[in-house]
Amino acid sequence: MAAYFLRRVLQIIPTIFGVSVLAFLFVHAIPGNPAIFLAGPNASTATIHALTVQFGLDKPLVVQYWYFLVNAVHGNFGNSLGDGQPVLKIIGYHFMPTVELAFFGLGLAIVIGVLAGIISAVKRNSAIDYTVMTLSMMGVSFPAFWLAMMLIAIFAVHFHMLPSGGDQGWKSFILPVISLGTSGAASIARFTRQSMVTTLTSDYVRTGRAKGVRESVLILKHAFKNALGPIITIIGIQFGFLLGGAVVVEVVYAWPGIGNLLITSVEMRNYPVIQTLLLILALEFILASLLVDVAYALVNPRVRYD
Amino acid sequence: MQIRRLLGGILGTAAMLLSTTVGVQAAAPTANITIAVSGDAVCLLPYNTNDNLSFGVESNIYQGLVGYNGQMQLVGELAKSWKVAPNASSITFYLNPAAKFSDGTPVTAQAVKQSFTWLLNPANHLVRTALYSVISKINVLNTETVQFVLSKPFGAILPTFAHPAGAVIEPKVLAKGVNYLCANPIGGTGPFVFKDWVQGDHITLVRNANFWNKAGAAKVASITYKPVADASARLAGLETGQFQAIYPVPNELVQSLKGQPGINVQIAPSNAAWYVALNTQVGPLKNVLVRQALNYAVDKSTFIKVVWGGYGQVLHSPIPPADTYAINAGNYPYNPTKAKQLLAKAGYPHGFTSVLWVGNSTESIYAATFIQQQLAQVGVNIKVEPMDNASLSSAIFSNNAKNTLRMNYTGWSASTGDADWGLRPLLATSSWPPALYNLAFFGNKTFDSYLTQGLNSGAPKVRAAAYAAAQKLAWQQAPWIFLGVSDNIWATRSNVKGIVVREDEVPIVYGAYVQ
Amino acid sequence: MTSPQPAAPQLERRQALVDVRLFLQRRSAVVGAVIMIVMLVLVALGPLIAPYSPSAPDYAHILAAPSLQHLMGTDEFGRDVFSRILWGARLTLAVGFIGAFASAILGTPVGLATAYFGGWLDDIVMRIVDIILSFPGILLAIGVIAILGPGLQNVIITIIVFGVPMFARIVRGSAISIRNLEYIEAAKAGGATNARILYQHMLRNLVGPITVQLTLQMAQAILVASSLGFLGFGAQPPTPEWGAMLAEGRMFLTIAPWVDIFPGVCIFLAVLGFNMVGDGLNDMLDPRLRR
Repeated sequence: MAAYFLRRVLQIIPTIFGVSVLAFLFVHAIPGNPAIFLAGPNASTATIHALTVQFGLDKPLVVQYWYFLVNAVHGNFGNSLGDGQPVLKIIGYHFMPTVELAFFGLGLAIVIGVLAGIISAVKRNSAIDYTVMTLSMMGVSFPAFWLAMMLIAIFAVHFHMLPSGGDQGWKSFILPVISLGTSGAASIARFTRQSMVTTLTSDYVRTGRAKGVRESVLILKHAFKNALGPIITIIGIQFGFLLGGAVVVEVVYAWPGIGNLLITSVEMRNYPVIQTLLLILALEFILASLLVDVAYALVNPRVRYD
Repeated sequence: MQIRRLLGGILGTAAMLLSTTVGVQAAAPTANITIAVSGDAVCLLPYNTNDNLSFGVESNIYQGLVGYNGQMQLVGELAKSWKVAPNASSITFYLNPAAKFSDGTPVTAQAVKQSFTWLLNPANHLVRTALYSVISKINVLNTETVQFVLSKPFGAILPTFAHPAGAVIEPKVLAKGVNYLCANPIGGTGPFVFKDWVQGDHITLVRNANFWNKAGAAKVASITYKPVADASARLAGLETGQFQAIYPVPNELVQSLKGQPGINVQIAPSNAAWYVALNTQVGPLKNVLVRQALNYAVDKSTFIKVVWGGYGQVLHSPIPPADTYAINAGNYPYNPTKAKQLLAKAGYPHGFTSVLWVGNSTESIYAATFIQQQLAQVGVNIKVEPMDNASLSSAIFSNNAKNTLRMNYTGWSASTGDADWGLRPLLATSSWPPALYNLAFFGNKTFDSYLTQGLNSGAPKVRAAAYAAAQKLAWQQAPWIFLGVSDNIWATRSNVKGIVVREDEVPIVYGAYVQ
Repeated sequence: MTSPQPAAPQLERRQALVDVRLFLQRRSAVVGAVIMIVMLVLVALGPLIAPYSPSAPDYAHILAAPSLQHLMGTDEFGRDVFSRILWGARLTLAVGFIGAFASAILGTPVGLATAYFGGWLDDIVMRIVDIILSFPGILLAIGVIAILGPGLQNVIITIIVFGVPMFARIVRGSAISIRNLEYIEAAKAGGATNARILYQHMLRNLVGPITVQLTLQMAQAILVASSLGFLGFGAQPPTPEWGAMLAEGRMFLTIAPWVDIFPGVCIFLAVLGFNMVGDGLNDMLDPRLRR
């Protein structure tokens, strides 16, 4: 098992290298030139040239990539184009709001999703089960941004109950957390139910029931514990996804997070910021799936590693 | 127009007098103002700025030798008077002896020279160097007098100095470099000083306690800019009192704000002219009859009604009435029958097909869809191609644009407020992309010569005549579908006064006070 | 952009591939199927029953509330929202169908081959899949649209670019679980060619999970297309694609909510329909969940 994890960790290096190359090629393949864009329509060719030099875009692509790579290895990700701020400082500003949102959104999703999933599995084929499953099916079918727009229209614009955007105080968390938590809770509920149904119908739970073990102990201690593997997987995937910034929801709520930063950076072709973000997001994604595997192995030692 | 500007001036002065009184009463202002705007600033160094929001923030911190006030009137800032040489080959500024930087250092002619020398240094790679490249020499005549000698006659030199990029920055801070100053706008002379900027979240400025000009001193303790991209989010924040002012207010939302107690909606014309540039070098659009036909085919008042919610005016010249030397150059009334006749006469009785490039904001797509609908009625079928702004700008500024661009919906606001900057970048032969923004690839020698006449003179009469001839010719040649001049719409809490959005779409907040 | 899908179930060899009765026992699956059938009817008949042209403006009746003349009101150009929805059904569904099927057709062989052959091929291909999937989907989409230009066909290409690695990974996962089963070993021992084993023995046994993923992928495709439309990278005007309608109506949400509510509800229903059918298929094919 140790060898397996060592291999997994070592695989991160070529993957990240691949991501850095692909990210670089990809952002440069997108039409658009940050010097032209930032210089604006009333700029002369001289101005555009000045910016091109200022941004180091006059050098060949290979050289630009080499500089990026060498600097990145030394922990220097360059300066953002236009405002000239260190890239890591800018990403730092936007990181915490996204983490907070992911944390609360996922927290809500886990509490509601796991509870609903367990109840649904225990009361299989009851009215409660159908209701929960129907609601969860609806929850994963909403376009997230549409739900967000509707929530803003109702609670912020119409009733003035909650702020409609920005990160200012606990009230501003409510709508984005609901928007993100809805689909998360729905997915988690479905997986929890599926996993619980499997364990509840398994032999050892039946045996336990025959032996007269209390139902609540049976459900939580035996069935739920054994059902945890897939539930952790889905939670891990969700968390990785949310950390990448739920882009469209962040845009709708003007949330100063990673998702919004990604969109504005792409809009102005802010190469250093996009490249660094892509690297960080890829690392997050890889680490999240690694952690999921570790967690999975810990709760379910029978997993085979091949 | 002249009347409106005059009226604006009177009102502005009245407001200033009023606000001065209020300022005296409240010796140490405590109010804090938060204004929600549509996006974040990009760079707060005026010499490297290209967007109106950044200019808006800078207007609180920096001043030029001359500048535009909230009503777009040219006024002295650090200079108390100035003199343009009759042949427009030099300009001399006489500084206000009281003027001081925020750390108390006096603003001297030497400081002005050092500041502009830094701006003109190509090694600094500044966005705005090109705007002032006509300056060949800076002479310090005495501590309070500075003279700029130009490499060629340049009639628009005074408005160029009034441009928001023409700030005077304390020489000793310039050593900190472009990147530092972009994020930390210090060394200004304005009524506010920079406190902090958290990118994507807020910019806060506080009152400059050492401000040199008592009459213009800040009447609030601080100003905070909040970028809020979503319009209804800005609106909701204003309604709940989270924001004291918001800009812009989309026209669809004006009605829902107007009736509300405690909120004041303000609407004023901008100097942004909107049009569809028609590539005059390729295909059917080469023919002037076709271009005129397209102008008759689009119902401009309906455009303003449908697309802008009625907030704007029909354009009657390539430049908006707010620009200096603007005239009413003509009229293309809505007349689809005439449009069809002209098309038939030009050899296109069944119309033709073309492509319209447009930015991918909802508003732009909306406008393009309207143009598409209108032209379809005279048989001209348009494919609308929305592109994100960076893709669009690189398509426009590519060397091949002359062959690939057909039509482009766009707008232009001359930040110097002068006819030259409203016409030359958009219609002079020397301004074809990638040099500047002549998206119609309009190339007319007579037109070019009018522009040169206007630029070679410092005499307003000569300039007025030259630009009038230029506007009439451009109108008749119809290199654009002339659409309209949009209104600026902003809103404040009713007890917040002194905030205006200037014609050039720069929000001017430094005069804000709370009643 | 991607929400996780239920893990593909494992298959026993002799299990019936399609048992319609099991499907019909699931109420939600039936509801989903009904929604899909209604949508398909709209696709077929929509243009015939639409009372107005989807693109002709009527500036005198801008943003009119729903009424007998205009069942779903009119939009910012006075166009009939109901007619636009009817015309748009085929576009929205086409995005879902083409996007998902193309992803399946291209992604399935990759997943099968990597699972079956393993080794360096598996390592390299799966690293590439990891890299693509570690890109934020929306950025990938914006980039592809910016490179290829605007238009619905490029939206579909974008969906395929992300869908292929997704399919490859899921098919690979399911294929690995059957690769070492006795009958495959038996076929190998019997001298069957690789191609024959892959097709005859593996692909046929994976039809179930692939079908499930296909329906879920259709739902995803519709959501992705509408998100792209929302960000200004969707269909070109005046195309009445539902996502684009949603984006156009966004400015009027507070004063004319019908411009946004109806396309939103339609997208929701389409996605719901696909999800429900996928869910029903999933349960039908997973012996553990049978009731």
